Amino acid sequence: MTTAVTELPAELQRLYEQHYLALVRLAAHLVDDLESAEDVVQDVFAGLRTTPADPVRYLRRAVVNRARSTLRRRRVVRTFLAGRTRLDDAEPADEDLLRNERRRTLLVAVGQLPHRQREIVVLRYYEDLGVSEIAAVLGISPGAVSSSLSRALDALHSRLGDDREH
Amino acid sequence: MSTDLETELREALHARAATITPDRLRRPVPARRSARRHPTAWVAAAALVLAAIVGIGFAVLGGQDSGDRVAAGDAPDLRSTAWAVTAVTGDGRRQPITSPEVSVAFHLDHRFDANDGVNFYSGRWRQSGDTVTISDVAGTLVGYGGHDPAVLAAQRGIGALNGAVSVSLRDGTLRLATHGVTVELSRRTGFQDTPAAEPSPTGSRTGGAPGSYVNGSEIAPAPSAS
Repeated sequence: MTTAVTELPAELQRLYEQHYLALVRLAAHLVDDLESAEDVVQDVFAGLRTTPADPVRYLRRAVVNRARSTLRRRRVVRTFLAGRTRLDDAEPADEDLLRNERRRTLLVAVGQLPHRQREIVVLRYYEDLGVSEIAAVLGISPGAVSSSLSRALDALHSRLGDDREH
Repeated sequence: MSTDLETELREALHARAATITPDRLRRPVPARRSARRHPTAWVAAAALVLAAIVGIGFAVLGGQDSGDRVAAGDAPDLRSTAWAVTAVTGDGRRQPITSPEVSVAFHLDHRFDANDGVNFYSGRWRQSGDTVTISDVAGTLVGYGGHDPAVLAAQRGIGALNGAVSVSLRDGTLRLATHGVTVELSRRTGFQDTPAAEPSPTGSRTGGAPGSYVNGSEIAPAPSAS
């Protein structure tokens, strides 16, 4: 369900204009299809009533949380997505790059990580956040971030290694 | 130190994000700073070039760094610092930048200056933790018809610095990340922060000097400096 955001207060509208595209990109890494990513971000803004004290951190956290909820719902209605545009099916900006099989394999492997590990990988390597920043966004300890990140990298190494053997 | 896998992850995630362009979104995203030409652009160009020359003159004459405020860590304090752009990563490609002209400066009075090697930009900046918000950007509009990848990357990197920008400092490299573009910078020594010029009767530099543009539209002189 998407709520119109055109009637946001001016300050929130400004936040929306500044961060919408970047947040959609972040959400897309977490939910895989563009329509869901936009729904996630628009719902986040629709839920805002006042400007958060730290808007960027708040918006990141809200997007991650709502993306996680989206993935949980998707388990039940997975077939609904059959007709949607998967992000990796879209025409890429640089076909040569995105057709690189190893890169595709890596993105698929990231998508198959447990939710928390996937979130941490995206925040670390897409948003370029440090461990403490990721911990603040996810509301967990830095130690938990580090251990999850380590496990995620091990899993990705393993996955890429497996694929190279086939 | 990044591993190969970490580098691949960064490149893969940024390449995928780059496929999400405003035209693919259901809702329109407001246009960013436009490169549209305008007849009075040269006035802004002359004013900003003059300002830059004055700034460089102060730096040369002063020759003293205003203080090493940037501490190692994830959220550096950028006040009174200047940086040379060393690389721009976008669409999964990292382009080294060697031109010393390509640079940004964060003044103590929240003025923001940038040079992409072709155009000068100025605006306002605010920092909240690991996020810098750059606003009210006005720039010269000198055209570039070449194909030098370093120049194009510098233009893209500097052009992306508008709105919310994630900032981190690791191993002496400052990273500004926004909209799928990451700009790597190294600290410039000898930066002499200069106070903003008093607003002239025709408007302040960042608040709307005649011939200044924000998002491709000429802006009116600011009623007062903020």
